[in-house]
Amino acid sequence: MKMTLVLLTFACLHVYSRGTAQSVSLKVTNAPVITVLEEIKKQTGYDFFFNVKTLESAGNVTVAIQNVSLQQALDACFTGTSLTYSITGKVIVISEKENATNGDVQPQTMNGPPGEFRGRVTNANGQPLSGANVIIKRIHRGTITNANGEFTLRDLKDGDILIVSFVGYKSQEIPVKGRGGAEVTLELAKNELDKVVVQAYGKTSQRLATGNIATVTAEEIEKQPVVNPLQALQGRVAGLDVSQTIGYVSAPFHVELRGRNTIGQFPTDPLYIIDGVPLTVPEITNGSTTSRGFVQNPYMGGPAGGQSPFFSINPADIETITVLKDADATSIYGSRGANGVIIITTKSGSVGKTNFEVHFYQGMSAVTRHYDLMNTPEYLAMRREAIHNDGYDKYLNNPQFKTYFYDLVMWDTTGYTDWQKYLWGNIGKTTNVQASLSGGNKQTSFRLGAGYEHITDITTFQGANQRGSLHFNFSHKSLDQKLNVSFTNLYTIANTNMVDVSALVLAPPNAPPVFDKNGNINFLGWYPAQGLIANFGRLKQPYEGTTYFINSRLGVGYELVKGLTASVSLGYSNASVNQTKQIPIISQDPTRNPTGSSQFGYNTNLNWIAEPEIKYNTLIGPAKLEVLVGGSTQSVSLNGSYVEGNNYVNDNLLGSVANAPHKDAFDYYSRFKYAAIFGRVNYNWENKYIVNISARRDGSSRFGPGKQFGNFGAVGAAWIFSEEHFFKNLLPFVSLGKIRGSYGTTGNDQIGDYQYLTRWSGTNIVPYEGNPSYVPLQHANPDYQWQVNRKLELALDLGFISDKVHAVLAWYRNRCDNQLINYPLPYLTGFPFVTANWPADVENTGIELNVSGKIIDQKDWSWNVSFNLARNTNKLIAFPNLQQSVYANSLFIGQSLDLGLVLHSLGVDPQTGTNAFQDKNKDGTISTTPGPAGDLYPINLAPKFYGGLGTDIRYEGLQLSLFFEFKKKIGANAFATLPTPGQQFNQPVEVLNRWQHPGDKAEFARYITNNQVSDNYLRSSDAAFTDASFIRLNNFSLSYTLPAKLSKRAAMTNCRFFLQGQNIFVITKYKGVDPETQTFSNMPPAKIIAGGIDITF
Amino acid sequence: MNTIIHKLVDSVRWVVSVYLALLVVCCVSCNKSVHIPPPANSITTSQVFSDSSDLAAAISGIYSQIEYANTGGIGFCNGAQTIWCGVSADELVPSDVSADAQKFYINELASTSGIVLSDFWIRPYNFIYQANASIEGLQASKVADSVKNHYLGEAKFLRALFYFYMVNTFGDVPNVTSTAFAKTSLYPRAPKSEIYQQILSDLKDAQTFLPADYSYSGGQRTRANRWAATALLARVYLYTGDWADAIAQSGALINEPMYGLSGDLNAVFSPNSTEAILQWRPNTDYLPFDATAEGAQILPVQGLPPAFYVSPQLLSAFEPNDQRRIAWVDSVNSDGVDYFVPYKYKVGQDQHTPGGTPTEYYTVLRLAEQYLIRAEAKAQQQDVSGATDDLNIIRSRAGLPAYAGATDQASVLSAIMHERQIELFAEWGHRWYDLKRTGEIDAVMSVVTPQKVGGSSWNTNQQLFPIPLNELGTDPNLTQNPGY
Repeated sequence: MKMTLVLLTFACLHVYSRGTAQSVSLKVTNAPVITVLEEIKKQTGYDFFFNVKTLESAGNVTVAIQNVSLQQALDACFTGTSLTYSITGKVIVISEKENATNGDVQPQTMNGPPGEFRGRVTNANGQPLSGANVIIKRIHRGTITNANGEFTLRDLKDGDILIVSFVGYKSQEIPVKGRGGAEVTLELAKNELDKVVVQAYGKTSQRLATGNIATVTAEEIEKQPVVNPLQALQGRVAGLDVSQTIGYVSAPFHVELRGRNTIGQFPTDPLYIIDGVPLTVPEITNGSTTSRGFVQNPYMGGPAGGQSPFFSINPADIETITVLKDADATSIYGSRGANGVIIITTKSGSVGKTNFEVHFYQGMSAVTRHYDLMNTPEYLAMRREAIHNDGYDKYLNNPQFKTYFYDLVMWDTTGYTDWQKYLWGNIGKTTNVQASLSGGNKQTSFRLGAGYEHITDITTFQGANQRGSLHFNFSHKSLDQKLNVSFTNLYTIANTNMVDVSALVLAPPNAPPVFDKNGNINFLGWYPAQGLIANFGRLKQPYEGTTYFINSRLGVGYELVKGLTASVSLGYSNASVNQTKQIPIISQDPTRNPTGSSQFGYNTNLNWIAEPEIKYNTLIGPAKLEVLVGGSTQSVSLNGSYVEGNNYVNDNLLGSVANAPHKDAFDYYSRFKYAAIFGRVNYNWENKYIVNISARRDGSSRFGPGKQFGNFGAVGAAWIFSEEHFFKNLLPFVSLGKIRGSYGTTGNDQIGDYQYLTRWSGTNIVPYEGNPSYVPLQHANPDYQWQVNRKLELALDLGFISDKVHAVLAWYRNRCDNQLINYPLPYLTGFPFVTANWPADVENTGIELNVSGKIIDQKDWSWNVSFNLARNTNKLIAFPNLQQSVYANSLFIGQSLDLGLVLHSLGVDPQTGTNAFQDKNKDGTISTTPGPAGDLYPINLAPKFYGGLGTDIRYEGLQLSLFFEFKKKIGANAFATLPTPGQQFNQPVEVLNRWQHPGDKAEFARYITNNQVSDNYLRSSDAAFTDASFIRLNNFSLSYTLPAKLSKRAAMTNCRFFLQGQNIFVITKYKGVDPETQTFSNMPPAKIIAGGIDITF
Repeated sequence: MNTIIHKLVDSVRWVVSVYLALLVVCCVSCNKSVHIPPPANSITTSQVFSDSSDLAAAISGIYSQIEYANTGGIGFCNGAQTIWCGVSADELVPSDVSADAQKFYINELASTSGIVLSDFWIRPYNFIYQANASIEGLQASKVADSVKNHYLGEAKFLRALFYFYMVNTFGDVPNVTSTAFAKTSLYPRAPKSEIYQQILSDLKDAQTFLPADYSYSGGQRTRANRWAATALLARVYLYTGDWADAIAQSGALINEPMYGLSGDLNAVFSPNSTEAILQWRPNTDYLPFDATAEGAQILPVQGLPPAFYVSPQLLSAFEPNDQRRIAWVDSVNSDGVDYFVPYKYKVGQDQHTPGGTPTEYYTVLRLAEQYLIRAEAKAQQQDVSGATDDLNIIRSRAGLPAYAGATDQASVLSAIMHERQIELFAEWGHRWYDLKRTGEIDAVMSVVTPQKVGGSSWNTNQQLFPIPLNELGTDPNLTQNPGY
């Protein structure tokens, strides 16, 4: 591949030198410039482009040269005149030397030779627009502009009108009216439908897109005081389900687009592309322990269970987040597009004044909801009642059995601690400072951004997160606009410091203090609840992780001939993580004669990609044809090591592994490579009929020999019927009417590495008697191959009243056959999983609706509303031999994959006080055995629908935005996740409504200390599930921008004060701390309120 | 002319572009572009078994797994049988208040039990996988028979040991002897008789392949040799009622001069004691350091009640003056209550120290059991005097007088059962498995279970542990034991 790059570069240079190394000989005395130019044209074949008046005003010249280059000839010719020149392809543009501006070519009127009409298309900043359409309205024919924005048309008639258009800009109609040329300046499109949106390997607009592309902009992200950009997507994109797994800010997010595609357990994340560099994070698992994201050391996931890669991306640097959903938009990513694609584009500088912007806020976070748990008398009464119900009264006061009743007999029965407050009662603090410098001129622009954030957790113990980031973007175009170079770099250092507080809030309310008089963990006081107090021991076991992340991209492009651009994109990313976790002696039960231990994790994830590309665009008749051919080669390597120091006798040395009396080392290793060729043809007939065809051939090292390559492709088409004359006349208020559809295939590569190999290793094993020892690591399957997802989509796009209201209704059907999954096997085979293809066919069908509108859009005030709603139905449509598979009893044809198999609860039996269940198969016993021998029936746990509603009101400088997220779903009932009431765990006060005497009609069964089967069954019954639907005020933002007059007085361009909040309140019937995390014991997501200021100089 | 040059330049550019495009295509479509080196931190099965030191490491890995694959300190073949079967029977009482421990104690296991799943199902089958993979690898290996055969013998011995405990814990179990997951994932449970046949065939192979000494473990009795296979074979013949073969195998061991009963009861579990046929050696670099898994789990710490203590039934079964009551049972007083604990292993959690040399090994097979096997088999063959001779050897070592009870077969058998209860208490679940194989379990447990704290009644189904529910969900042909 390296060779290709060298050749490519060489070839570019070669073409360039050929084009200009013409030799010229001239000998003229005091001749008009135009004569000299005609002679040069004769000798070199170059055309000249000039304003006749300009040449006349330059007077005559005298030149005598022999066999010099074209440039030398022109230099000689123009020395001492007021003229200058630039060479664009085969055209030399002559203009006057300008003193006022920066010397660029900017002819005011242009006249070509007779019969030719010459023009130039630029944007408001004077930058040429290359590849703009110039169509003669009369004959529906035209041309496109070259790199310098120039075009030439012949055979125009006097009354002709030219339509000049460019993606992202408002089209203009230019009357020819006897002119020989025109300078056209296009304005940026103001309406949402014509703004530029990012697509795979290019740009388009909502109006012209044939695929399903959704965009979240910097404006929406900036309103949210979030640390992780993924959090800013919650509820904003129809069909994209983003949820937080646990309350730690660095924790991984669950991201799923348009439902679950596979029956297996592999991650469902879309492909993320950051500034053109695919984020490729290998998933390394170690049996049951998995750590997700950048923290790949399976032994050291930390309390958050890994670290989201997006914790290392500063939302303030992001310009847009683009979500590609259907086959048309994603097929060009081939093997990795099955779960959708999310493209993150960072900010860049713009032409004009250099801006210095400072953004600062300070915020507070707290737990959103507490839950009412029993107080000590209620708890003790519950325990005594349970002991009585069990018939254990006789044991209660027998000292031999004191350890069974420690909370009543051994502990102080008057103590009380609210463990929720004790653990999560802290007000977390957030400080966020951002500064950026950006600017540019017609050729060069840049942005330099820096950010720092400091966030403390809501835990009352230690826990803080810090992130510092630098962002740099630079782009440059050569004077002739043919060469463009851009470079973007993100660098982030993120540090997290956490303690694990899970599984503690349900400790008995009369439990002794956690720390004794000396500040040590009160192990002896808590005896014999060793398990519980050991959890508190974790409060003295700090985990710290520091991540260094670099993401860079260099892009070089050159226009070889008009419409044909060759470019190469080189990307590099590197995430390295240093982790430490200490288990000091003081955090462990002293009766066990403990020693200290220390864990050190290091891993480096290195990723590079090179993508050469050739783009060609031209007009064929009235239709624009764009062809893209590219190649991609990517290499990812992960090296991780984990060193454990054990048997420390002094806690002070825990930071040094060298001082550990005994050390163990483990390593993690992963390599993979991708190679692909891809292409796309886009055919656009006058913005009315658009066809888009894309294809990719992909190879991946994740597959065994012979199975590495796969082909993917898609066809998309759109009919913009509102462009039809009859329609325009009929319904003029419909500004856009588009029907689009697409069908294609994508693949999924999210499987482990080396799954096709048998693997033996001594990594995870202790030598026996000092002899080297190996263990097998996995089942090997050399036969698995690509899984192919087939996606079909149909959509209707409507814009009303000059695009002020925009609605998209999309229907899709995704099918996934021959699934590549982590197929669960019975343990008796040796390992619980194998990577394999499985002939199950899963279908996701759904409808998505997006409506956005500018209800009021005036200078002083405006009101926008946006709404999105998605409904997905997930269904297993085929599964050959289902009855002979491991899924025989858990999946059913025609039903969702998100099934819970449960007993039907009949409530509490009024006679016995136990939970009663329906005997479905009427065999006289209740059984949870899968299949017909048991009484289980399936219930669907997939969300019914979800979406978001946003509104944005502005009155002069005052702006209020609200964003609600909603979801209709069934979730685990918090009560069913609790231990059976009566045991040594605290309970919610609702549980007081329990059965006590025969005849009682109670919500909860009798208290009991010793679970009976019926208590266990409760957890596998439908009573364990409840409505977990919610509406959440996900975000509010109130801001005030100072009037321009005032801010100018303080030398500011802009000054804005704001108050923002995230996760403010939840409306839900769900009983528990949070309807999304659905447990009692994990730290819930916190609410944040922040206030700050934003100043631009 | 100019137009010709233009066209020429144009076509050169086009050619260059097409050339570039082709280059890209060629570059990425060859297989080399996605070639990666094999992982640096693992080797493949064929690599493992093509080299004598690597294949030795594969077998050594099985021992490692046994010693360190555990939850909460104990695991399959490393204390789980002793504790969980002891608690299920009438030997041990948990003061551990966790629900899991209680369920074993009151004989109300659920098919969702985490301990049954992890310690009695996942780990054994994982070990069996490694034994199967090793046997397959060794059989396919081109390494000389003289080098590889004793490893084959060890793998077969270990597989037999695992299956012995599986079949006695669950009854019928899937007979997995291959790594071919596509086939084995659909296996139903094989009848006990089939499992025993497999065990017998493995043990006979092991006897052939294994040496009769401990030369390859440096004189340490820490790896299986021919006598370990013989000892297990004697036990299997006893369990399957093949009295003659039981006598032959145990007799061979008893006659082997390398082994003899230890005169000092406190030294029976010492490293390489004369009585030991097979022991696991603790690795003192890791928890529980120089303590055995059992010692660390059972022995009390700092005056607190022990996690597991001797049941009143067992305590009262000791005859007066039994030296084993003194040497192998210790007591601790906590808040005025005396708790008696098994004291076969002396190093507990609060005495263990990292590094150093262990003072006891975890004993898997020992000679005393062989005397009792031969005694029982002889009694079954009506050789009452032969039986009592063997029995008295054990009794005499415990400081007890010779057996003086009735000499009818039933009485002698009952005396041998009683002797097994005492001699082998808190060792590998012998009591639980003995009660089951002799059919006495219903008679004993229907009295004991209701006496347990929280225990209600005994149901004969409870003698078999439940097949883990999880496993029933993944193998559609697996069936549950009755009553779960």
